[in-house]
Amino acid sequence: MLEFQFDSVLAFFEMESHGRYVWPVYLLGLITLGGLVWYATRQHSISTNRIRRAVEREGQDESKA
Amino acid sequence: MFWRWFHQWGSPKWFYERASRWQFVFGFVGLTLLFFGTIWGLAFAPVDYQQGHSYRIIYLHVPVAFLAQALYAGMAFCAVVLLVWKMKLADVGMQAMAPVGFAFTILALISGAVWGKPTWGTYWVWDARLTSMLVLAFLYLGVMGLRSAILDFEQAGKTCAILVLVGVVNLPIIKYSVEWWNTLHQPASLTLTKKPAMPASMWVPLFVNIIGYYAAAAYLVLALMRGIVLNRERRARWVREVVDLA
Repeated sequence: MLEFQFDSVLAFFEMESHGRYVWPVYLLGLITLGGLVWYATRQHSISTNRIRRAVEREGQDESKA
Repeated sequence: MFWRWFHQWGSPKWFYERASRWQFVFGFVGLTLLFFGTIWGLAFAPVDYQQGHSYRIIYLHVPVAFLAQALYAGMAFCAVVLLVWKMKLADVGMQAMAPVGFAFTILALISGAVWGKPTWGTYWVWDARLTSMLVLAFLYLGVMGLRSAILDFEQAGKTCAILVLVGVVNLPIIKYSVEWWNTLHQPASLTLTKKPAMPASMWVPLFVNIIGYYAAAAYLVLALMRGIVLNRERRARWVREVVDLA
């Protein structure tokens, strides 16, 4: 059975003074993963928008001709 | 049967149609395992009698360090496939893995440095493991820089593939650095051949996190590959149909 390893929530965040090492690392990990998801989503939408604009431009050129 | 499956990977359209489904599965598995694995490691895994609570950094550091090397090995596999079979998707895979691998290498270096302070009394030493990981970060940077410097996709792919294959020599150096030289860095926490030195209450959450980070990396690589495929195949009819439907 899993057992909570700390006496209180405050003790959990302090981690016997090791919290100042542990928490920034996990925060950085969260920021890195979030940043990568944002970057990947943005690359996909940049590609989609570029193609959409090219299709629209071609449609306009055809209607002018 | 195998060759038929293998040749399907030569079709960007075939890949794009399936990748969003795979991406959803990997994203869901990754998010779920990372959520539970991280809470398990931070709050429910027992404290280490020597290192105290600072050892809890292991639940992030080890998975990202594994992935930093695994993604480079993945790039090397793609490089071989590209050079031998000239498969477009291998180049796309290589391009997508580079930024993810670089981010995980930097995360492994920083988390290791922060863990080093309470454990070794210093953030950084020029020992073999740390230095070879730093070299890995420079290799990723070099591959990304080289690609952005060459405009032609085909030429960029071939040149990057050669650089990636040259850099593969660094992977065994990273792995065996703790055995070949006297280093501050401890030997591997988990190996495929030996029983873990730590109790199950510590290594099971680590294993959950490792699977979670691998699934998250697969999600990220697939997401990036989809964007790159669209960009490269932008003149193809199927791409225009996909964009119209989106």
